[in-house]
Amino acid sequence: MLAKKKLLFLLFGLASLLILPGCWDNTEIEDLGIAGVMGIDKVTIQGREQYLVMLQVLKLVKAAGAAGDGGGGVGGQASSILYKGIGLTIDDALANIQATTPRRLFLADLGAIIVSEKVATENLEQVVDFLARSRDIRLLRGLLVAKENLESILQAQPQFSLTLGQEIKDTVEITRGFSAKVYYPNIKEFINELMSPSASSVTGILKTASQIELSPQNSGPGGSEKTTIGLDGLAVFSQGKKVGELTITETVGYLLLQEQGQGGVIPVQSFTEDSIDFSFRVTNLRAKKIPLFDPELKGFKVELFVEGDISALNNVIGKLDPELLDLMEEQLAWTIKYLTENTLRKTQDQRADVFGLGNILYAKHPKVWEQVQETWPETYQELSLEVVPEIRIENTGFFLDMIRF
Amino acid sequence: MLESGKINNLELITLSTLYLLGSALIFTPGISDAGQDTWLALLLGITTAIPFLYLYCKLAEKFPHKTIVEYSQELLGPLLGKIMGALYVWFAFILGVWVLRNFTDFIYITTLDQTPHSFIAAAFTFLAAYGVSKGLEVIARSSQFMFPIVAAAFFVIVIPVLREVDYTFLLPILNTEPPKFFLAAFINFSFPFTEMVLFTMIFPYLSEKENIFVPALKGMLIAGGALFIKTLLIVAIFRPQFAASMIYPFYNLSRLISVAGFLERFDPLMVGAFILTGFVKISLCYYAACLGLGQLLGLRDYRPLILPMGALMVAFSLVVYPNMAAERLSLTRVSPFITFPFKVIFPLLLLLVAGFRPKGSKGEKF
Repeated sequence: MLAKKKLLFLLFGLASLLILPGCWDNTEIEDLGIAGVMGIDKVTIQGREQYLVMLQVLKLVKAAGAAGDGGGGVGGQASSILYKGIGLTIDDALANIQATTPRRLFLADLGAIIVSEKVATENLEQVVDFLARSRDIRLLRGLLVAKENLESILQAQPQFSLTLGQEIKDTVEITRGFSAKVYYPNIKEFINELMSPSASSVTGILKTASQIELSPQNSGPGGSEKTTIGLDGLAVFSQGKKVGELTITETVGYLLLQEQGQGGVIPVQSFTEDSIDFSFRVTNLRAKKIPLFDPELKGFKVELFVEGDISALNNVIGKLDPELLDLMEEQLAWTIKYLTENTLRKTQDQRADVFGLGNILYAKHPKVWEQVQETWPETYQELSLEVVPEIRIENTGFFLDMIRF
Repeated sequence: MLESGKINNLELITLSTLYLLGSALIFTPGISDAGQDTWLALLLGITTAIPFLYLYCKLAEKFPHKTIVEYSQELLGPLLGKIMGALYVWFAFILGVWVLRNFTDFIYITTLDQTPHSFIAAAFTFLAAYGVSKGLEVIARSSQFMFPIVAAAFFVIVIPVLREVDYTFLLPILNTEPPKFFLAAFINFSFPFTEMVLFTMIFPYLSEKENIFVPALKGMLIAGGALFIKTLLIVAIFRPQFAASMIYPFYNLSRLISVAGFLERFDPLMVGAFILTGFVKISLCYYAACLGLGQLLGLRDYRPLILPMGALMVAFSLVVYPNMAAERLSLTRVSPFITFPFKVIFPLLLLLVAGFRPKGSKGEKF
């Protein structure tokens, strides 16, 4: 009969092997410098390019009127400090920051990593390699590009969330399905796309709110002058470098083609006298990208099925009858075709296959891909790309006809 | 007989499953060669390994009360047999050393980055030594206890990451150059499936010696199934290009878990499950090395060998690879080839000799 004690001893020993060695260097949360967002830039010092890393570190302060020193009451208010460090590598710069702070830097809670335009254009691979190599930084975090001075963006204070990184994350994730105008992938998706045969990807561009094209400066209560930030458009990457940008309107086209635009609002302008201005909210979206051969690769056709509801009407005269809805569908189809083809053309000019058309060739027509892979950016630029939208307007909200007085 | 414990068929299944999962779960062998076809290479690897598992079982059935160290002496004569036995002892030892190093590095990189390698290796070996000193029955029984824990951890990791899967990453199918594909299949054949050859050291201690092949195959298929799911997910989530540059792709997969934005950081669970599979594999190799050496030297008990063997394993594990790059190279380009004779040639040779022996002298009388 085998003693259970032996088994228990073994299992307890194995569990201890994992858990106990962590105890000797445990750190209290008050001793951690929790970084919410990290900025990475490059500067030239004594003729040598160095990394400038900025960390917005959370400073936990006791709320006014909270328990005294012995009360253990940390919480309520939070503010942050911006630390800067310079070094040959990103980790060297971080170590230099660490040397100036009494708190142990903690990067596992980073909400986002923001790189300057210079880094995005010249040193993206080094940054991505550092992020993937790091034990603390999760691949689920976002990597974004700062359009203007990185420091002014990092000095912004979050309006709703505890950290700026969290606020950036929430702007995309919590609002997903309600606007579909901003987007950024996580580090894993970003690397995946850049390492794919198409070798192109996009990520969000951050600006201070005053610089954002379609959204005027948000002001806080009492007209507070705090700098706020927001996402505006997409940075386009190809072969590991930033090669261009997409505006917020082109971002809508991108998201539609990537089946990511559910919940998005598409404004439709009238183009004839009897057509109308309205907006359309996308509820369902499918984009099928089909290569066309003649017999060589000629281009791609995108069958775009868009389903959704009318969310606002501007100038309907008379009843909203099926005939008018047909006309609106036609108007919408034209708008979507214009939006998406415009985005496609822009990326063709940038020679960045951000839609993964090369990946489709590699996956489904490997023989064709073999012929074009060497010159894919140039081939992509020359492809004939056509979007064939199929639109279905389903609902019109609580009312059918427009309220008129 | 140096070992008095007995293990049943169920214990054989759990033991072989966890043994095969061992370090194969943390690495994805062959992915840098076969890319998106790695899962097919794995299937080919396991399919070709099954006949060899049958061969190991056949040998064990011919000598139901002897380990490979013992029956190679009977088949090949004292001198050649002892050389063969010594080679298998070395194989068990070096396999244990490799796996110990794999796990030491894994724990160091993922969890205990401020703990010296030597301490992690010694702590692991100490526990394995305890298991080995208590005998095969304790190791087998503990594997039965650990099996559901490992299975639960596996599914806790796998299910939440399913939403990240993109099946187009698996395409095109069979587009890898044949030499690279077959190399990846060979790597999978060798690591881990034909490492089952070490079970020829424990087959004599099975309580039911009829038809060993069935439970052993079940163990291999369960482990193969888990490795298949793991490989498929790694390719379909990371793309082969990205996954190939990772040291521990499955661990990275566990770092992707985010349920509703707040249930994250499941990776310690993963490390815990890996420690269990690692323990089983290291203990078995350690046990086989001690038992084999005991039998080779004609000792009455293998236990006096446990401490020196453990000390050697720890010492060797610290120097066997100078760095991670050498470790990866060894896993895919060296060890599958140098261990090939132990898994294929020697067992075939032994079976051949056993087949040619006069009928009267075949096997044991039982």
